[in-house]
Amino acid sequence: MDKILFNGLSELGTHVDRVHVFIIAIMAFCFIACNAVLIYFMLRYRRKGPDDVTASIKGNHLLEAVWTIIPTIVVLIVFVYGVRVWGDMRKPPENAMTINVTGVQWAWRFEYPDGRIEAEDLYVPAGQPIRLNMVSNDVLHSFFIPELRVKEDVVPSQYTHLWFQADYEGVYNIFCTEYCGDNHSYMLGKVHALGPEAWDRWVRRVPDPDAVQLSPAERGAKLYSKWGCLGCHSTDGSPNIGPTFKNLMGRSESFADGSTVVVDENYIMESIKQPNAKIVAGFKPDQMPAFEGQLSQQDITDLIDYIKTLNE
Amino acid sequence: MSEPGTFFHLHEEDPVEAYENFKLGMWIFLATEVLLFGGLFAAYFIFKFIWPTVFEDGSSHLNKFMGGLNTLVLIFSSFSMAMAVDAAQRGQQKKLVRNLAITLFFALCFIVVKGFEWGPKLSHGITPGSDVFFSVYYMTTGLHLLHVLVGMSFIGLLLARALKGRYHEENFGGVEIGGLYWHLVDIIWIFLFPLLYLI
Amino acid sequence: MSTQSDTHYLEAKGFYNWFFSVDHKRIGLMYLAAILFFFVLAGMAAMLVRLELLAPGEQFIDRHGYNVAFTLHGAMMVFLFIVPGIPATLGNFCLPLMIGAKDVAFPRLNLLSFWIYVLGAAIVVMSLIGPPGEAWLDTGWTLYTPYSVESSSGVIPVTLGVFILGFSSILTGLNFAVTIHKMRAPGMTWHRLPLFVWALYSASLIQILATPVVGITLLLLIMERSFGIGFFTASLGGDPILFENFFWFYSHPVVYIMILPAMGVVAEILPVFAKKPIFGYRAIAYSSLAIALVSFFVWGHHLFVSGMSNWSRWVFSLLTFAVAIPTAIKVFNWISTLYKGSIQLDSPMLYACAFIFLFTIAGLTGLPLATLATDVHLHDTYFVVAHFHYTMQGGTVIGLLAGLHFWFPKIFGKMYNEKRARVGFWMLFVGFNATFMPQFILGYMGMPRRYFDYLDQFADLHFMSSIGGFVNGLAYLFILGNLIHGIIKGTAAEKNPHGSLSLEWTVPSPPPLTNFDEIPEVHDWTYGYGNEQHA
Ligand code: HEA
Ligand code: HEA
Ligand code: HEC
Ligand code: CUA
Ligand SMILES: [Cu+2]
Repeated sequence: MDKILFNGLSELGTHVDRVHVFIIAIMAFCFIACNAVLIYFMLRYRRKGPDDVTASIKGNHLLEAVWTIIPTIVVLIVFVYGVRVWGDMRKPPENAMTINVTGVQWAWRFEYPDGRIEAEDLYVPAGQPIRLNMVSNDVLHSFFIPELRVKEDVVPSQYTHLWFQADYEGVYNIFCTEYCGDNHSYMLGKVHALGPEAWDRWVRRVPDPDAVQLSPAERGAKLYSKWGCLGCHSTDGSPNIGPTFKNLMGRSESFADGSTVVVDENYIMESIKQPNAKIVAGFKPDQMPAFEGQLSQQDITDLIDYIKTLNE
Repeated sequence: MSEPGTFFHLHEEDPVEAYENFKLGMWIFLATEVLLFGGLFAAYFIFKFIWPTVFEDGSSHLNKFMGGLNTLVLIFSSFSMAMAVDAAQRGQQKKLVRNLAITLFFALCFIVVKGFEWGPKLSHGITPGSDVFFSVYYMTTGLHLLHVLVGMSFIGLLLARALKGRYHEENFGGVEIGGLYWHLVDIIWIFLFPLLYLI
Repeated sequence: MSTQSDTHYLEAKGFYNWFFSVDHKRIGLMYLAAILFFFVLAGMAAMLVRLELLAPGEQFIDRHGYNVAFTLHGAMMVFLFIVPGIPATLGNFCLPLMIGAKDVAFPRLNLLSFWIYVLGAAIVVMSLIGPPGEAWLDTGWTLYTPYSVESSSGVIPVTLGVFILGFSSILTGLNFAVTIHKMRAPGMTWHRLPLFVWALYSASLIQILATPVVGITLLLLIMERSFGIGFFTASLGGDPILFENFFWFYSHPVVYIMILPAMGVVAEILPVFAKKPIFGYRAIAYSSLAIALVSFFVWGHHLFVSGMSNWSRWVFSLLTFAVAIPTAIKVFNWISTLYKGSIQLDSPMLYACAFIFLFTIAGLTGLPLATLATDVHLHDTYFVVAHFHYTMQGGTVIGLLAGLHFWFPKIFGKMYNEKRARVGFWMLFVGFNATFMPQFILGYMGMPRRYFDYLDQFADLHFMSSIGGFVNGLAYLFILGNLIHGIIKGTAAEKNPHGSLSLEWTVPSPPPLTNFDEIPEVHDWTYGYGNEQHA
């Protein structure tokens, strides 16, 4: 259990884990106490014969009072302890950096104070409190960083918030924990808590020199899952919310208004930036978010290269 | 069939006992009805709290005159229903039939007025999906209307039985229970009317 | 005309005599067959879930299929199996017998409830055997909006079915409440009532008062999908969280509809097999009422991280702890009943003791969920999954099995094989713990629920849980097989094989058609077991 609790990754998490352990101890005590007595009675008073003499005790007021009052006190202590630590979890420190989070089926999008947008990967400076201001584009989601013990639902009708601080550099999981449809279990992400140097590089967008160089199509494949295209576009030929990417390039596509076009690079770029410009026959408008301004030209080129690899 | 059938009542019930049971059962049933509408009332207050202007605006689209008229109609019908119960207890056959018929007539009036209220709204495109206010409006009044219809069938049945002379001093439980139900339908409206139309 | 007691209630044969019988005992049996059918169906879905989770990645079904599988599993287990559960089966059978009545207050209404149940269940099942794939419900049993408004699956038929089932539940509750108020035999005062009856009474109160709210909620969901009304849709000014509140306003109290009758069964069995009066009769009886009452005010503990206001979070946390107290009182009283008894560990008693054992785990793991700081981490992880399987399966299902074994001779007039019953019990006990113990740890590790696929770090514990799950499934096969064998081939049972003092054991097994030739007169409570010599 050493890694499961007290991973030492954040101060708040450690406080929470103390509550966990406190309650586990109470649970263990009550469980053992009750069941030790239960099993002892079961064995000690096993029936020996039909003529066993049994006590005709019907109750005991004193005992009754004792075992009402003691559990009441115990749960009150647990309650107060829980509320106090939780109070800290709900109050972000003054110097917290606020990042806007949007949940969509099935990806996380992060918007930084300076307008920079990231998807799937949340980069934060280690040792700095971060406040997430969250809202959903569609259905309910829930933002969960198990290692840091924080979670809050992401709702379409209101902004919710949570805060955390990763004390050390490292990479932590993000899970979506509110059921949100087919790809609920793939609505994952990572928190990258960066040291001062790496954070500085990230802010200035200097690529990490040590990172492995990927081919454009490989980068495109990552973007495909990172930006949640996979939620609507399959690569195996089956239509989903949007048309499949399989054999997309060069396909002759017909539109809701009856016109047709042979798919080329420019058409794909247009479809990504302004999806509503042409609506593919059989699909609904306003489903696909416009990625204008979110994906760089480089990203789009990479995506197109990736889509090209899906032709047979 | 010589085998002992189990379909029919297995034992004779004491009518007084059965009547007591039915009355308690009806009261419990009314409690469930109150909770059914309670959910909608809760939603009403929550949304009114969140969207006060939407509610003011929506409320101003409602026809206070027709709403008020329907309130009167239901109050009268409750009165005639009470008279019917009284008549049943005293075994006044004619008065019973007359009052049940009047109640039924008032209920019908209610539905007609409701039709005049809903019709123009729907044709002007004010539908249940317009906004939260009208969602609440149509759901509450619609569910209430459904209860009026159920109540009418109940009263219709009582009327048919009364015409056959089924109710008398010793057997008036059915009328009394029908009366309880009808008063509930009335009371719910008396809450709905001011909430939706007036404030 | 022959007297009624010449013919016992199982004698009349034929479709008509069964399906249109107003006899509470037959209706109970028909319910039993129906709910066990759905239990097996829902259990099969669980096996599919466990197969898929054997290892990370796609194993046997795809992600959509998985979502359908756990949804059907949860929805059928809850709405078709466990909510009607003990009250409609054992409750129906025993209640009139235990209070010395010839039937429930409204026998025809009882039959009607059964048929409404069948209708609702049929609609749910139809939507399953309808066009496959997309149409199958995939929203989780909680039906949260907006997903349930947007999902292309058959939300409307299932919701409609559950809505109809609600009426069945309300009518059963109403019937029982009136029966207990009005039909008690002379001398059967409230404080002489068997505790099972108290439990049924408390459960019916919840059925009566909570079910209408879920009714209106489901109705609104149907309207939302079909007419676009805006109660729960953010773009129309509605609030998706409102649905969660409405849903749990019913679905929290409903967990006590499930558990209270099981607790009642246990309170019946313990004194009989320990030959001792129940300890703290009034405390147990009134704590049932207390639980029923408080259970209406704790629903918010399912919404601790859903965006509720901070102050409501801590109010709900406090109230949730309040519900633990009356439950704790029950546990202590049950255990004390065994003190200085003469304990016979036959299969009903084994189940009853296992109930206490497993339910303490179940209830105690409710504590970290009720605590704000810890629920943030545990919410919607496998810790919750483990918690509610311990309550529902370790609690209610074990309680149902305890009651089935206990009243089996009375119901069928036959005896099952006791040795095999004990083997089945131990298989279940081991399999069950092996399935759900690892899930507590998974929960602490952060494994989210409703995940079709998972990270490698969770693989070992999931594998253990799956293996346990299969043992668990086979155990049920064995137990049900033994009971069915008992019905067909069992030896004839005596009138009162366990030596119980309550009224249902004073009539022959199986009971005659109209229960009692003459309504008995009651002079003492049902628990006068002790035989200590005073003089
Ligand atoms: C039969 C069903 C049943 C029962 C009886 C209970 C009983 C309790 N439940 Fe459980 N619960 C469920 C079924 C049940 N639950 C289900 C189905 C869900 C999830 C639904 C879903 O999301 O799909 C759930 C979820 C759930 C949550 C939400 C978790 C989340 O989603 O984040 C919470 C939070 O407070 C909770 C708490 C409790 C508590 C405090 C009790 C208490 O009543 C327990 C009281 C019992 C004891 C405390 C043990 C006995 C006492 C002692 C041994 C004495 C010593 C005790 C003390 C000192 C206190 N439950
Ligand atoms: C009464 C309630 C009840 C019961 C008894 C069970 C019983 C079981 N449940 Fe249940 N479960 C729920 C209610 C219940 N469940 C609910 C409400 C949910 C939440 C759903 C949601 O999130 O929406 C859930 C979710 C749930 C999950 C989580 C899914 C997820 O979140 O992704 C899992 C995973 O392990 C699981 C497993 C099991 C298993 C293995 C059993 C086993 O005990 C079942 C054993 C029974 C049988 C197998 C049938 C009888 C056996 C035979 C006829 C013999 C043949 C058997 C074989 C071939 C082996 N359940
Ligand atoms: C929420 C759903 C959704 C998401 C997410 C989404 N799309 Fe789409 N996409 C659609 C729909 C629906 C259409 C068809 C209607 C249209 O033409 O606008 C479409 C059409 C397209 C087309 C035109 C396809 C054709 O057959 O002509 C391209 C190219 C495309 N999307 C690329 C992308 C890329 C790249 C991403 C991710 C960066 C993405 N989409 C994310 C829903 C989505
Ligand atoms: Cu998003 Cu689950
Ligand atoms: Cu609950």
